[in-house]
Amino acid sequence: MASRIQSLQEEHARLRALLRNCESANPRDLGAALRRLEEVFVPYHEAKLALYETSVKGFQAAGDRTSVSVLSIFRANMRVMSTAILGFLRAPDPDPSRFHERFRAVADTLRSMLSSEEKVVFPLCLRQAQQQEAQP
Amino acid sequence: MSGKLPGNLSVLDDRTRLSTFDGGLLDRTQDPELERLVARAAEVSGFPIALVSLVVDQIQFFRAQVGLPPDLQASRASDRCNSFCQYVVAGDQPLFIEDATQVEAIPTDLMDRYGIRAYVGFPLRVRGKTVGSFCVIDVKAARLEPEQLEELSQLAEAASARLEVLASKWAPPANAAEEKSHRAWMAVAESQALASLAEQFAEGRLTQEEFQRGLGALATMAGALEKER
Repeated sequence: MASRIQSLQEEHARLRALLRNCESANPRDLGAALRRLEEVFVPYHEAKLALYETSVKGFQAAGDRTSVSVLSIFRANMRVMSTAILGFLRAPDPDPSRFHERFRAVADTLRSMLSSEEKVVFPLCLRQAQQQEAQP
Repeated sequence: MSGKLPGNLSVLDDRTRLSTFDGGLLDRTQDPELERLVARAAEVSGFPIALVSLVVDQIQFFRAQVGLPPDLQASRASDRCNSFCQYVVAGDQPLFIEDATQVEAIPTDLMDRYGIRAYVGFPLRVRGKTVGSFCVIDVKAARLEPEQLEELSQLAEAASARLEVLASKWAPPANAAEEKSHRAWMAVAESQALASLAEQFAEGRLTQEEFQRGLGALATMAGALEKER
């Protein structure tokens, strides 16, 4: 579990770098930068859903309803935001200036999601894994 | 001034109206001019809450606010379908509710969740479309005097003028590709309400109870955005 979280944190760093690339890309390179962001984002999203799934099941088995509730809320939010972000990446605005302005909202949303998960979700998942390992 | 709710809400989904919402309107950074207007509206009315509320696709977005509880300050939004402001937009006329508990057919979610009782809202217009409501809200039943209503009406006109400036940067979508792109962007802009709530909870600025209440006020939007994509 710790290695899965570590791997997701590395993906967060990659995503942040790709966001910066998109923000600074000139119009000619923008399409490629967006595709690269999507290519990294899709498997990352699936890996994270799997992490949520494992952790929710673990907390359910341990009877920790508060943690189940928090993780379920974050999972639902993450799905909504990720779906919206992917929708945007797949329908880029034809006007480069307007695209850059709109992309600000996308970048803010994604950065906010990454940061919130690092503060709340990953520590919870790690705690769940440690509890499981400590069991005889 | 009317306390009667319009029955036909179809104008809310009018694509031309929705295409009015772009970066300048749905920007989450504070606009000092709009903030000044809502602060004045709260003073004039004596009501604790005053808003520039933009009635978007799934949510009402609080472009400027004073007096909201912490969870709504964080999300700056609640579900459109439970809002009072949707009726100001649908009817394109002011709405005055002295005691919401006495109004038939009004959604009860905001009353149950936040104790909303009195509401006075004036239409906000941009490019000839009604985009939202300039409103004041109280958690107890109340009514305003004609001179207070007159000043609120003038403040609403000033807010419309400011929104017109904020919305002037981009022309509305001109073809199918632009329309598709605009809709995709709006879904992201609306989902920022969820991101902001989660962020404030993660930073310890909202209790779990406040976090859950704020999410509850956005439950319809979250479900709709997840389903339709």
